[in-house]
Amino acid sequence: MWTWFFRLASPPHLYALAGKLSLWFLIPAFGLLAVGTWGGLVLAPPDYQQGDAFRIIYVHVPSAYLSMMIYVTMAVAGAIGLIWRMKLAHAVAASCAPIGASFTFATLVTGAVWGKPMWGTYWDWDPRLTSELILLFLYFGYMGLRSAYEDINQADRASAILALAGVANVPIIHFSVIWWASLHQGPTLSKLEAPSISWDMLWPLLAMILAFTLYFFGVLALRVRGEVLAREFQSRWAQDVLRGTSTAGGK
Amino acid sequence: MEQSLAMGGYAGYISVAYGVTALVIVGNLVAARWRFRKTRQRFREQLRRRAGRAEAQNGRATVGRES
Repeated sequence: MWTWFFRLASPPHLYALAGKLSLWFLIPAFGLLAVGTWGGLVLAPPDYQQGDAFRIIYVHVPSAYLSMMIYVTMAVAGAIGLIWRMKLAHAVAASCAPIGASFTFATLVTGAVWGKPMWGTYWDWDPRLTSELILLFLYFGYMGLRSAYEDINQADRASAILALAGVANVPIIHFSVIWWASLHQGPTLSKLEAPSISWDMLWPLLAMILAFTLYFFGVLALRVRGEVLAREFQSRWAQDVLRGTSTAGGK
Repeated sequence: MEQSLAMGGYAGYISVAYGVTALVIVGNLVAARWRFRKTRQRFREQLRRRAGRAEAQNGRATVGRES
């Protein structure tokens, strides 16, 4: 049962798999992005309270979801690297960080430009906004810590511990609108009962969330290839790949 | 048409939000591809230099034996 998992620990296998998977994820991701954007900007009706400004939801919510999901992926990969001493798990974690940081940045900017017309301000030290900003600093801290070490093994260990410590911030972001009085609206999709959004508005959002998720895995696969190649440069298979004499997804 | 493009007066906010997201999406993809190609190119050059050094050493060793 665990064979597939342990096969991922094989660098040539992961390198070849990542090469194949990146396109398999990216092509449907861009198709869904086009459909979701059209649905969100053109087909969905304006909100009865927020008017057309609500259309920012179609980029804000998927970015916010991705910012947290990527952090959890990074922490889980870091934990796998620490527990099973799987070096490639650290390669996956390291590849997650810049993607996660950029989507956290997008979440903050799209939230700010939504906040201005709705709340009258771009920024407020509200629990949801503040915890999301802390997430951005955690990503920066993670990347900074990695680059502070010359020895890659030390960098892997230290950054994995930081990622695991910081994962406590993710439930705080998610539940902040329930735990504290907040300017930010409460959950719309993740409630246990039916989502409080009509289907006309919901389907483009679901399409965008799926598109962003597929996109993340596609870009992650691309980044992981480079990371694996850099770490395995001294090995025979990597040199064969570089010479173009390997079958391990060599291009 | 003009009215629908104005998006109820929110077109500026909406275009900034979609523009920044588009930049992040394109930027991540370009950065990932660029980084991968750069890594591959750097290590290919290292391999070439190594092969060149090894050839030069072999050449010197052969000349040494012949003389």
